Amino acid sequence: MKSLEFNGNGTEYFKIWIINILLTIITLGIYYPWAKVRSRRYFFGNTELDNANFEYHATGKQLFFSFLIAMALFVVYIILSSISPILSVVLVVILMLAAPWIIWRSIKFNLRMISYRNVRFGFNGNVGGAYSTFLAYPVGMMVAFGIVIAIVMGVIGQVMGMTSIAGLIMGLMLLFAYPAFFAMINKISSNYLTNGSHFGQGQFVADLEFKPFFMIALKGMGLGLLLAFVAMIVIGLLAYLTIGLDQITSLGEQMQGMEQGVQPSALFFLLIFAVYALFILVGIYVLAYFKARHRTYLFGKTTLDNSINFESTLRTNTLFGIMITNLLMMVFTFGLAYPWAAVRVYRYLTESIDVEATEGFDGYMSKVGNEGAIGDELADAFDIDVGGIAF
Amino acid sequence: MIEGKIYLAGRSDSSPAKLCFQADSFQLFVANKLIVSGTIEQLRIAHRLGNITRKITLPEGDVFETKDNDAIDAALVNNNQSSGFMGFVHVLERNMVLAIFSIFITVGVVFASFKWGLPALSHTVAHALPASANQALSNNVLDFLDKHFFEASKLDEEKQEKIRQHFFDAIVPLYQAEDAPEFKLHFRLWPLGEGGSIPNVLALPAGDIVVTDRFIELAQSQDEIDIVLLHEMGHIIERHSLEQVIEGSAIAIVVSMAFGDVSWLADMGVGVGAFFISSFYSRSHETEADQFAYQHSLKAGINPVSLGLILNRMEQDMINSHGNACDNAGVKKPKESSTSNACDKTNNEDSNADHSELDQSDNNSEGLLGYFSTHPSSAQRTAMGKRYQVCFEQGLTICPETKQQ
Repeated sequence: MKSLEFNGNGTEYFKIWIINILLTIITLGIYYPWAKVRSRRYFFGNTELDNANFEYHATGKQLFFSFLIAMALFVVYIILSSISPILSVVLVVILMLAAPWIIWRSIKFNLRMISYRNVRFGFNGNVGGAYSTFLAYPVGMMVAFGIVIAIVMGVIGQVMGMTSIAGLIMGLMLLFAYPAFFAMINKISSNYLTNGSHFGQGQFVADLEFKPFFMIALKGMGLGLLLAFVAMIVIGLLAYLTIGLDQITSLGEQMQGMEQGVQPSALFFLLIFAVYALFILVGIYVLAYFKARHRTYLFGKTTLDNSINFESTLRTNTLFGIMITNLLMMVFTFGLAYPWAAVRVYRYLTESIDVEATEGFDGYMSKVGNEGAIGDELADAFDIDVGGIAF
Repeated sequence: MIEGKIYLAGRSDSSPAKLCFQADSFQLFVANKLIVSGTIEQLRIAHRLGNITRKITLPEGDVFETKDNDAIDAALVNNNQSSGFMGFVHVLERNMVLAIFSIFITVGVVFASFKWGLPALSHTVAHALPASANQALSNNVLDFLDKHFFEASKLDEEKQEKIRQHFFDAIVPLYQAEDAPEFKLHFRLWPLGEGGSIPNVLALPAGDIVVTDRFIELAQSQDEIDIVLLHEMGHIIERHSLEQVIEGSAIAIVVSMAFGDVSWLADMGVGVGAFFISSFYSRSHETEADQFAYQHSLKAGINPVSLGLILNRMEQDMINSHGNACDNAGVKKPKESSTSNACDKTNNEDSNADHSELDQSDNNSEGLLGYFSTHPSSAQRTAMGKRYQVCFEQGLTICPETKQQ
């Protein structure tokens, strides 16, 4: 087992990042795609496995077109949403229908732009898979769930009326439905992305099942609820010890007053801030938990070409620690610590990937015909970060 | 001799190799045997970036890679091979002094564009868009407010009609312009708690101005009603709601460009930052509306001091009925509307009467919480009011622009 290594450092990346920003400002945003390429090249180029590094090949020119399209769409959406809510909904629906296609082109483009040992990665999942993964399944499951709820409601209403037991059944259904939905989405998108990826002629294969995803989602949600409960008790105790009971009641009144336009006191703001901060902590912890468990399962099941195996050593607590300290660094430097924060989290995420290549990496070849014509490149250059869906 | 590895085109196996530059030609050796040679122009050399492994693509598509970046750069310089714009970027990126200098430029540019650039831009765009764009913002807003906040007015019809008549006869004609919106006056009761109600006036972009019953009760003269209505007309004519939308989207774009990669991180910090910035814009909008009200009040012979009087009375009314209700900011505003409201600070007039520059005075008077404020401090408003008061007493109808204290 060898782990990936990251050789970059925050200070070096800081200089690249700040010059990127400077040039983007001077060129009124036009330089942005080139800046993005330099950032990605820096991260991929410094990622090494077994004494060879990864490489990012896209050019600023390729990304420029997708950047223009994205900006234009964004501006159109902003204008429409403030002028005519109906038209903006139409635009959102059109975008939703086009999204799987855009995501598909984007995955193809982005994977093809990465190489290792002179061999390109690539994606050969088909567009139909993208439509079922990113549109049919999510929408279908929501519709199905709505129908089930309606039927169950009807039956319960007929049999026992709206009693508290009926409410309990409903609550339980919702409690399990959300993790199930989340797990299913994770399973099919991981499945689509992993099994569609290849390295040269070598195909990635992952045999994934629903149950482990469901268990992760269920445990994650349970963990989140438990932590949120503890956080509530902590806040309650703190409030009780520091300001006393009568003031808490007056805070409650202020909360009601706020809806009617009354401004609350500074103490109220402080309490809101404490609640906000604690829930951010809980949210980040649950996020770290999902990421760690998800990777452990996915990587454990993934093989490349039946000869290369993967393993994740990502730990929830370590990732949580990095995320929290990153957040604090960012807040206290007004965002200037971003390069160090980005390098820290990227380093941990890559160095926690172990690869076992019993037969080495020799003998891989880039698939022929990967370099398309210019027109093809233009259509392919949809550059959306979809990595977060599966990895 | 530059040590490295050679990959055959598109293949993953590699063997050690040496690359040699001489004048403007190159030779590649594998196991001390010359494999390829040619001119430097035939090579495709990747732009340098930090110290990542350098790839050089040979004419046949084979790739030579080396970690010896400096040797490659030295060879290129000796051959007068220009490494183009990206070479220049790399020179910038290596320079720590320049990096620190860039921080200042970046911070300065960001600050300046948020403070002056964006307001100017949104002002231009907002006024370049057709009037329908502005009016579309308030579609259904009044219905929404009626449903969730307001009740029907309890003022008697006669009084409503009298105020409305005066508004259309004496106030609306003060502003003459081709694209002047069609103003409408609405009377509503905004209930609060047991039997109380909120004194407030709000303007919707389409030209609707909503006046609450409590405001009319508090007003002690026609001048006070008129000048507040002028303030609201200022919001509408200056298209402040539209400007807010434009400013908000510009902030969103900039943020996504700077922190796109770790959006979850950015989301949390940015919400707070965006809030500070939009409060700042909101305060400058209030100042603009005040200015509009003062200028037109002189033409109509309305005493400018009325604005300060009625605002203070509205604030006192809120404090009396709701304790320290006005601790730190203006009355919560329903979305898409601009209000002239009751919560303008009165208790810190002396502390900052002598610097009325907007954010500074807020800062002095209220520390950090001042940045949350959506309205300028009353001291600031009073200072502007005094200037127009002087003009009013001299019988001027146009007050000369003087540098604000």
